[in-house]
Formats: sequence, C-alpha cells, structure tokens
Amino acid sequence: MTEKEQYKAAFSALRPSDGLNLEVEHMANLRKKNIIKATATALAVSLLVFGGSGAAYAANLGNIQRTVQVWMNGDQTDASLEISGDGTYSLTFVDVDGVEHTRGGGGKAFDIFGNEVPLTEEQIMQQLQMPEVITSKDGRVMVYYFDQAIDITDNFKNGKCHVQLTNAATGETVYLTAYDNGGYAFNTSKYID
Amino acid sequence: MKLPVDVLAERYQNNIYSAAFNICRNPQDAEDVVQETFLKYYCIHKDFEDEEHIRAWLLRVAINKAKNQVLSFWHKNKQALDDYIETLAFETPESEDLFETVMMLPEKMRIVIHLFYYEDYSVKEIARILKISESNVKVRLNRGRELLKGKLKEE
Repeated sequence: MTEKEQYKAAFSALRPSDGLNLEVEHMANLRKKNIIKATATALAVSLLVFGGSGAAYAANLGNIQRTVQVWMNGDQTDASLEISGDGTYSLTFVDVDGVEHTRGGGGKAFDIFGNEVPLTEEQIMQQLQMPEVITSKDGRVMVYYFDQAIDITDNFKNGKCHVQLTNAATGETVYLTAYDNGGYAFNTSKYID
Repeated sequence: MKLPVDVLAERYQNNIYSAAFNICRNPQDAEDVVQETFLKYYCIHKDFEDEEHIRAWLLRVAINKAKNQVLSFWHKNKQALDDYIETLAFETPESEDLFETVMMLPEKMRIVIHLFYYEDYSVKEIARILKISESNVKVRLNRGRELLKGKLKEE
C-alpha cells in the first residue's frame, strides 16, 4: 500500500451519523423558507392582523398562545398558534372534513449583523400568510394563497412554473416561481429564477 | 454552475466530515460543520466553474467553520476523542494506530496532511484552499511526515 492508501484506509472509518443527510436537507429547506420570507418582507402587515380585509387576527393576548384565523389550503379556519422562545411555532387547526392537523415551522432569521435571532410573532404570522406550494399524495402540485387553490401540475416548463397571485382584498400581487424539485420562491415585484 | 445540495451531500459529505473532524476532533462539532457548510452553499449566490471548484470551496468553508468551532465555548464540553475512536470500525490495528497518531499532531499539520493524503490535493492546491503560501504548506507537510514516521510505511 502507498502512504496515501494507508492514510485513506485509516480515515475511511470516519463517517457522519446516518441521520445527517436528512438533517442537511431539512435545514436547507428551513433556511430557504427564511430566505423567501426575507425577500417577501414587502408583503404588507395589513394582510396579517385583524379580520375583514386581512386573513388572520390575534384573539388571545397571551405571550405563548394565540387563536388566529388563517387560510389553509384555500379554506379559512380558526387555528391555535403556539410560539416558543426559540422562534419555532406549532399551528393546530381542523380542516373542512373535521380532521385535526398540526404543522410547525419558524426558527431563526438573520439580523442585519448576520446574527441568528428567533423569529418574532409578526414574522411567523407573515410566514403563515405566504403562498404555499404543496404536492398532494396523488402527485398534483397545488398553489395556495389565501382563498386561492390553483393546480399547476401541468404548467411546468423547463423545470419551473410561474404563477401570478393577487390578494383580492388588498390588491397585493405576488410573483411565485415553483420548481419541479418541490422548491419555490416568490417576490412582490418580479419572478425569482 | 451550481449542483443541488442533495447531490453534493451524497458525494462529499464524508469528505467534509473528515476534514472537519480532522480539525475539531469531535463528531458533534464535525457534523455541525457539515450542516453549516451545505447550508452556506445552498444560500450563496455563486457561479462555480465546475464540480472541482465546488469541492474545493466546500472544503475551504468547512475548514474555516471547523476552526471557528474549535474556538467556541461549546467545543470544550463534548465527547472525548478517545471515546469516539473506540466506536470507529478500523479495518486493521495499523489503521487505528495511524488515525490516533494523526489526531495527536498539531492542528495546522493535521489539515495539511489530510488534504494531501486523503483529498489528493497538490501543495499548490492546498495553499490555495488554506490561503497560505506553498512554502508554508511544504514545511507543515514535511514536519507532519516526520512525526508520522514509522506509521506511514510505503510497501
């Protein structure tokens, strides 16, 4: 064996844990959400708080738990929102079929100095009102934005699909790019490619 | 060009982990470095020349992050190196002996040795990745070899 072969044989025993690969993907997705959120800060806060023209309102004034009204998959519903000190949240709601769902998210954002800081309640509410692209179990790709539910499964060209979304209540327009790998990005002034 | 994270993770996560471990000497820190490195790659808007360029960039980022990790408070409160080595499955006792000896080298030598022997980089390439002079790389490489004398025996 050459010296290099001996060295490589010794260090071939080094392996990260099995769960690491998935964690990388998960964290990348989380970071991507944060980036998307940052690009969409122009989305008005008026979308977030109070009913009527908005989509969600704070009902309880506790520091940890809120009852909010949100759009989920095109349906408006009451939901219980719990926010942790580290910026993560869990949202529990009952869908139109009476089935209870819980989803989580949030985490860290970056301040102007590059430091990680927990998401604020306002940022989490912004996140909850952003467009979502969800692939259903039967493979259909759906875009959800407030009361809109759009099937874009057959609209992909060259691995991506552009969708222009308008919030009827505020007139706010969002330009969304969905990718065939499941990712998506959006901006209030142009398509992100 | 830019390759998807999952493709790079499959191809290079072991390499990045090994380089990070070489500096941190701690599995948790090394895994943190791997994650942070891929996250940085994912977030950066950079047009890479080719896959080799990406590989070198990933290693450079991982090495820098690992150095920062070593300086952090949390690094001092984690699993001991000896305990971790006992969990590794070496093919031969000589491999384990060599691994332990490398881990005893000063950090500056370890990473140069690692990039040369494990990643097959030339002195010039190592100098570029570590942002040090080629003569500095040669000095560290030679001193490292001397300290490994008897452990690396070419047959």
